[in-house]
Amino acid sequence: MRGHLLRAELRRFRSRRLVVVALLVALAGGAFTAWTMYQSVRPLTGESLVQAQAAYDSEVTRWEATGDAQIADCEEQQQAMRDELDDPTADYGCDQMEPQLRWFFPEAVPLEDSLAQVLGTVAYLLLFVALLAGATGTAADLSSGGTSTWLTFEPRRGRVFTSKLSAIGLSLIAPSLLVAGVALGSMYLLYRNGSLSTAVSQAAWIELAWVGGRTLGLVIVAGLMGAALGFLLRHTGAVLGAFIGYFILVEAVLVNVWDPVKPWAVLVNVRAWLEGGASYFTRVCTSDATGTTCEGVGKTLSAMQGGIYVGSITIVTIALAALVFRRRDIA
Amino acid sequence: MGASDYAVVTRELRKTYRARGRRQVAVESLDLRVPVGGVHGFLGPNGSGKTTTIRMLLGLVAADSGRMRIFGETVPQELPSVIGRVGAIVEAPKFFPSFSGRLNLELIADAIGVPRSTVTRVLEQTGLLDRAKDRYRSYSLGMKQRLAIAATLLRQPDLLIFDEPTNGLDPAGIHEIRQTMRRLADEGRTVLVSSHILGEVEQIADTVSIIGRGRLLATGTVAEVIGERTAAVHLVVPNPALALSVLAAAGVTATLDATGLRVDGEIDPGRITWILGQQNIWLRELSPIRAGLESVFLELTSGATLGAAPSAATAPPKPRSSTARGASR
Repeated sequence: MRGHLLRAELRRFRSRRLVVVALLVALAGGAFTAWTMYQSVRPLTGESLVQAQAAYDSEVTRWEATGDAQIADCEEQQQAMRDELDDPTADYGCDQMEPQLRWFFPEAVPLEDSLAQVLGTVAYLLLFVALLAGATGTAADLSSGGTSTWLTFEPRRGRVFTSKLSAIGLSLIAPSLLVAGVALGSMYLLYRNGSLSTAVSQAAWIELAWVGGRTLGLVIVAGLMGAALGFLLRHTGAVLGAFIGYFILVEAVLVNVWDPVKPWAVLVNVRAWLEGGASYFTRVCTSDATGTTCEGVGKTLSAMQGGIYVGSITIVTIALAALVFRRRDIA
Repeated sequence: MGASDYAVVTRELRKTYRARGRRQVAVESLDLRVPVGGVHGFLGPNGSGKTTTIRMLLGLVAADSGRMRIFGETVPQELPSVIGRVGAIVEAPKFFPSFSGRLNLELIADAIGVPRSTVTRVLEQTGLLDRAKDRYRSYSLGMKQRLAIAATLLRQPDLLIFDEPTNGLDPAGIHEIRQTMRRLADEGRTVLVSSHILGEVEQIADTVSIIGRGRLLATGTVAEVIGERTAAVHLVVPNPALALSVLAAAGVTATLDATGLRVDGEIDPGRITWILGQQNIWLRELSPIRAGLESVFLELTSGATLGAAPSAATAPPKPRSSTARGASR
């Protein structure tokens, strides 16, 4: 019976129009991300090259006219800072102000760096789409009354709950691989078409695979979290609203005004898991006779810490959703 | 009379909801008995607790107290073991609007482990085969209702529960659904149909239960519930106008109709004969007009308040023949 339920849920989830639309958007998003990133890392060609040369020439001309004055001004400010800090090593880099050709003609970024960058960006797109797909996979059923009909055929709510979550988790694997593949493949093709080196070291492939694996795991977790929130809030729009509300209140406001919350914010933990660690800064203030001095202290969250934290939140949310679904009257 | 003679039994069933900070009673001390086989009409005005009762039977809503059994199995605890014998439509059919009728049924068939060939069969049975590939949202109300019936038939259930199955249907649709319910009952299944439309139930029901404000008001066969009560008597007299004034003087309210007089309410025909005879008005005809289910329903439910004593027939309907399909298992 469980196998039957899971198969039916898998088919139903895949048949949902919103899920199909979300997949298409994610695919397009993956390709678009690769394209926009390529625009910023590729070597200049054609008119851009002419513009860069013109910009360099213009800057050199300006430097020849005002360079000495700029250096003198820089050194004056540097000296003022050294006096203020009583630190003779304070360096404003006044000897490096002369325009350099490489500033205007950047070298192409190696493919392996671009692949890592595009995967890192696509990961966030996938997480959002997975959350939304998970939410609609459960909330739409509840709000439309589909769950009520379903329960008249299978009244064991635990099984219904498990089959829905399992179906959502499993259904996200292939599309996520596809979207990541499209993004990485697009970047590779763009490099090849741009006659750039497509060499990628074995170490870089291994690192990419690790990041990809962690991303896939987190995408499944996001889908399950969306599904659990869908059970709790009963409307996809409500899940989306809660998601946006959380980001505005916690990630955008609270994190910036209250340091202790920083290591507990979801985003930094997600970043730690995806990127193999994440840094954040907290202000440490000390008071003495002259007053209070604050300085920023960098702290690091490991990938493991991030993974455990996000996983724990998801498990608690799923457990709560299961409890509510078991006890709730279904309209 | 054992519990297994009944498809559905509830005992002292109670359910309250919290609304606007207050607890509102939806079902109160409900003792419902639905005999195996035949159509059982579950009647009551809107908001009387019919749907809540059905939801409790199906485990969708938790009862506050009381006991429920379906085919002798305690529900909701034993619902998984008996759900295979039950097909139900609660209120309006709810399927996925963007899926076709066939896909909706196939998903259910997959979930309950029924072969997909059954889907074609039930679509054919309910006359939906030609429109099976169309999206559910394009279906008319009647087609949606038929699809819901098709879904209930996937498992060949012994008990079918239809909650207000003809809501929103045109007369042809109502007739069609009525025929379907009757046919299913004639095949030996038990059909529990809730409705506030008396006409549709009176024509097909073998037994009925009437509830008001969550309480059972009457139950039994249709004949038992209607009983021997007369709703009115029709009189044919030589001078109707004179008879009208004589009856009025005696405190009996009557009205003129096309062929004579009509006296409404429960009244002793002998008394009418005596009143008129005193004035030398001799009856040519006196015929009682039997109460219909509708008038009984209106009479019972108009004053139905929580705590009111049940009236009419309150003995549970007797089970039908043990050859009925459900009873033989």
